Amino acid sequence: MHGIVDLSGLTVRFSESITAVDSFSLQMFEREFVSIVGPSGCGKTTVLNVLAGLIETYDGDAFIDGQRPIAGDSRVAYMLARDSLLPWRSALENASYGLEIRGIDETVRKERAAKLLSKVGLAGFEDAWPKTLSQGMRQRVALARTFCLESQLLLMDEPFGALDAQTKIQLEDLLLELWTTEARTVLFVTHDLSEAVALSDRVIVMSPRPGKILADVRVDLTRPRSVRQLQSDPKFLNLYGTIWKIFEQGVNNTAGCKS
Amino acid sequence: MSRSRQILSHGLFCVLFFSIWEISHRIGLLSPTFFGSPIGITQFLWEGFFVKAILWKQLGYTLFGTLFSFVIGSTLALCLALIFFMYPRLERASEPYLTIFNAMPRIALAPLFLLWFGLGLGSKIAVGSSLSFFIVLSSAIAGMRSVSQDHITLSRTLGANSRQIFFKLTLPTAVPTLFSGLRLGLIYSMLGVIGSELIAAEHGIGQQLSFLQSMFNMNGVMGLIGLLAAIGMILTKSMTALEQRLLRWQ
Repeated sequence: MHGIVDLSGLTVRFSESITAVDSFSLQMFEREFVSIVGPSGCGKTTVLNVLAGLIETYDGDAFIDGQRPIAGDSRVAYMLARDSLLPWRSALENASYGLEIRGIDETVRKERAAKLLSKVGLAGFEDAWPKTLSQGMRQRVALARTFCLESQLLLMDEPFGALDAQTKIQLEDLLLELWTTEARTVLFVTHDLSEAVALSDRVIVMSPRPGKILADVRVDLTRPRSVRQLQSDPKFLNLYGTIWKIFEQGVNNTAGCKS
Repeated sequence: MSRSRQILSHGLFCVLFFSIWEISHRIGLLSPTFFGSPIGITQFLWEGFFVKAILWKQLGYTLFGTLFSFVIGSTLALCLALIFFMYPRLERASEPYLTIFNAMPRIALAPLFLLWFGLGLGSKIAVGSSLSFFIVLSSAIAGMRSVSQDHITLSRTLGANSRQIFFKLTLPTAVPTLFSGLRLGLIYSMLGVIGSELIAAEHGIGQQLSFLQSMFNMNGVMGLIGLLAAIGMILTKSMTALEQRLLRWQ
């Protein structure tokens, strides 16, 4: 049986001496929310880039729903760290950008984008230019653009990394809500442990470069969750502590090897 | 309120400035051979345009030359920029030659162009378009290079082909930079045309300037310089207005 994502022994080398990801294996099933955490430069984004079809040379196997990843696969939607909205397009035109590239009919895509914008709390802002929106609102538009694609698998590369703590929690709750109602599979990359634990079903902890999997921890917190309330939940804090220890050991071990 | 006050204070300043000039001229403080006088200048322009009506034709030559230079220079520049975009290796190969051409003070080519294209409009357009060509070319290239890597990555994951990337990313990204290049290009076209008219020509404001200067007609020289400044300003302002309409998102 294959999953939505099947990675086995994935190894990516940027050059003879630089190995970004080392024998990375991961299987994800439908509607799973999996986070990858690790120190910066550990190859988290590289894993996403392989799945998005942006990196084509690697060792090992990579499959999405049984097929090799290719750029432009309509089953995959990628959300970047920065909002990357096009400044010359209104919020609505930005939200429908992906559908436009994928050749969806104008009336259909406008309708779908407007629906998504209202779901992310931006009804009434359809015609706003990006420069008039706050950082949080811009990232909401980016969320709308990602979900608008109706892709099965969402790859998210630290989408809330640049936001302030308050806005971040709001958007994390929004993401969980969309993930539930739209029924998607999410692979979420972050360096924020607390974010990973709060959102995910599983947290994959990676070592510093070359990125290897240190642990695959199941997060058995009940759903639906509220990220805001979780912050003081003892079970959450316990899990956070466990993962933090693994994370810390990984960093120390590698530091030890180098010296 | 503040806008009308601004206009009022500028008006007041101008009245004061020209009055002092005129009075200094009347009492003999300023030599008429070097400075002319505001009333003399006004008289010259009035006669030139509305009594003898000889300046219209000269102005027509200069403006036609400017516009034509601008259209030729910027069209060629945009075509070359597009070719460079499609074949980046060609751009790298031709870079040293373009740098040399661009570094050369192209008004120095005017004598050569006079020989090649004659005293008429041809040589003026050659100088004008060679000036606007480079400024538009470099702004178009700089504009197209400034595409955000994030936008490219995003579009590639969406499956955008190179045509979509050009029309949906590269072109809109380049427009603001391109526009400032076009605005400069228009002014440079006029500079080239006037410059070569000053050197040798049969018609045009530049030719008139050089003729009036040789006759020590300072009212005429000053009047035409003022006229050119006004035209330059109108050209820049209308480009800016067009730009603001097209780039509302900025």
